[in-house]
Amino acid sequence: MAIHNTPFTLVAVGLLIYALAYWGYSKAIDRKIWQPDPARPTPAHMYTDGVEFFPVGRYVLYGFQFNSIAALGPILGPGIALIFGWLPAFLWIIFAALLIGWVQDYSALFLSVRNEGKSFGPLAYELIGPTARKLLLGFLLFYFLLINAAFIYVVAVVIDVFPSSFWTLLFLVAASFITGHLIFNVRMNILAVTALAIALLVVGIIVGTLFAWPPPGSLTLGGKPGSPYTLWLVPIVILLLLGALLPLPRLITPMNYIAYYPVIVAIIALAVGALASPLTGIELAVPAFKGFEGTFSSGPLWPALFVSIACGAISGWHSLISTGISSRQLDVETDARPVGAGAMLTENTVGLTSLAAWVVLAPVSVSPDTFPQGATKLVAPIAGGEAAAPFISTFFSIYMVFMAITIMTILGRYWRVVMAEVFGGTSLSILGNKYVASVLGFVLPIAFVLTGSWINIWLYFGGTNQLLAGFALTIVAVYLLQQRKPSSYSLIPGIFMMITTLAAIAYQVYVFFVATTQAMLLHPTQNILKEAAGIGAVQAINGFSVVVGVIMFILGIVMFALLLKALSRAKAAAVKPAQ
Amino acid sequence: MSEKRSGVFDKLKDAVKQVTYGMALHSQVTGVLKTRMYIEHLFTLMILGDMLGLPILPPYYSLRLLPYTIPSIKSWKHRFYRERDFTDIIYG
Repeated sequence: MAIHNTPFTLVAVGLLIYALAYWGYSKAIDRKIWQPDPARPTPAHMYTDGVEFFPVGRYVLYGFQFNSIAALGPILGPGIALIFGWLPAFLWIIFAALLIGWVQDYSALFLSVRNEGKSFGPLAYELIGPTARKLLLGFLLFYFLLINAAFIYVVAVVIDVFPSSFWTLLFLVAASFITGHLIFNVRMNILAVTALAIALLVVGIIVGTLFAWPPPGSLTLGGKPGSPYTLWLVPIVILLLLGALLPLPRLITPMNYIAYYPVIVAIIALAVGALASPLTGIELAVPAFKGFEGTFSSGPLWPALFVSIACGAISGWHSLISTGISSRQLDVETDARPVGAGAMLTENTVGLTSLAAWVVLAPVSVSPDTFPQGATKLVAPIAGGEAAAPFISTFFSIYMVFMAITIMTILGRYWRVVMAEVFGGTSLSILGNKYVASVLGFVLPIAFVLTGSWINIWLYFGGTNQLLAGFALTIVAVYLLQQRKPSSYSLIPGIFMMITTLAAIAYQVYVFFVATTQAMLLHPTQNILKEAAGIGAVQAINGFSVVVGVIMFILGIVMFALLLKALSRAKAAAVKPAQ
Repeated sequence: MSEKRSGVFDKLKDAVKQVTYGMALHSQVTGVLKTRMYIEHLFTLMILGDMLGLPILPPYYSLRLLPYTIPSIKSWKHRFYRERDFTDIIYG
């Protein structure tokens, strides 16, 4: 067996490039541009309050940053990118890892550290203007809707195909309530509680696998497994509402804690499975290159590839974490590189190992439920073989479900706050109400889910996510220009990402528009909706996506124009370099 | 030589422990701290409400409870005066 035809090669070459990015390029940027000074007090020391602002060691903050930025993006994105073959997906992941991904996370972190720990909103206000902050607010509302839409879709489809994951999820919820009670009320030892929670989770996986009921597809319209027109959406939304409305220590805090363990085991297992592939005989089953054209739904390689992999390459969500939380807990400036760049390169590794799981399956239609099958094929030979395969596929399906649910419950809370900010004090203030906003936050995304066109939803989400990253990179460039420092390392990726993502959103608007006006089905799955409610329902759902896409595109274009204006202002301004 | 090796091993062990804590627990601990802070600020508001035009407690009880709120007054003031943006509120 040729070693170059195994996932090992992808992961090994990728890791070498990541090492170059961390110890080469990021080190050079750190020394030459940001010039960290260990003696300069960081916001964590200047404004210590023991809650938001307090110094934390670099390893702790690295772990926190990685945990906060890791979600479904790097797991599912590579699957969509395979429309063009594994080589473009691989090249984009390593290219972004070298020149773009860490640049955003690290620079946004440093920008905030040098500006009193300010978060993205105030930074946009100061560096671009008040309109930019308002636009950002509107943009984030739609961004959250699209994240929730993409993630709810994934959870519904994965649970439908792997019903075992639902029962394991119920065990997780039960374990979370028990853990929360034992830690916060009984004040039991954390190690004992953790052991109990993990034991419950293992029982959940075993029970779920043995009790995989009902059969796949039995709760969906038309009985087709893997369709989003499923009754599983109901318990998912109820669980998300509970997470968004209950006090944090009751459900979310313990749930995120317990979910960490299977997630980290899954990430390590995928990496080991990929590195051991020359020994296990698992080979690449997807062609290296399939052409530039793609499908009608995805569009051509540019821009589709660059918005598909999301967090595995670059993600705007990370700049919200870097500026909103991590910058306030950075102990010394010299920690910014291991925290910002280090965590992002680890996330790139997750993207790479996920790509390894996708490429070992022969080409099938791109669907979220394919990932657990690929991951099982990659990992089973080193973890018990065929006998263990059903348990391993349950494990990887809950890996996806946990990754989505833990982020969505937090997003639900955040969405509520943004809704209160937008509608508070207006005639529509009812929309800012805690309960109304929470319900809207999870019910509105269902409208996207019902489009039944997975690729288009994901590319919408990826487009907005990476557009936010483009904003962050360009805001950093504005600041560096003001400080009379080299800015091209951030400006060029920023402009590239903004143009690419706006093109991707525009293409998706076009796709939905054509589907709406010509009564066309974007995906065979839409047949189910057509048969149940007529072509008018399909057109209405597609039309809704057109409206949202147009709004996102207009917000993006205006923001782009404001950023260009701010760049030219910054160039003209004469400011002394910060010392 | 072996001392040097054990030093490196200890450092590695410590780093793994800290990374694990950071991944698994740091955000949960921060979340709990925030919850406690909100409750403490509510308590401070109850005690000092009289001075702010919100007479929640009779002054007798406010004075009796005042010593318990003094340690959190600084952070309360800090938070009270700090302008908060919607992007500040990720993770509660």
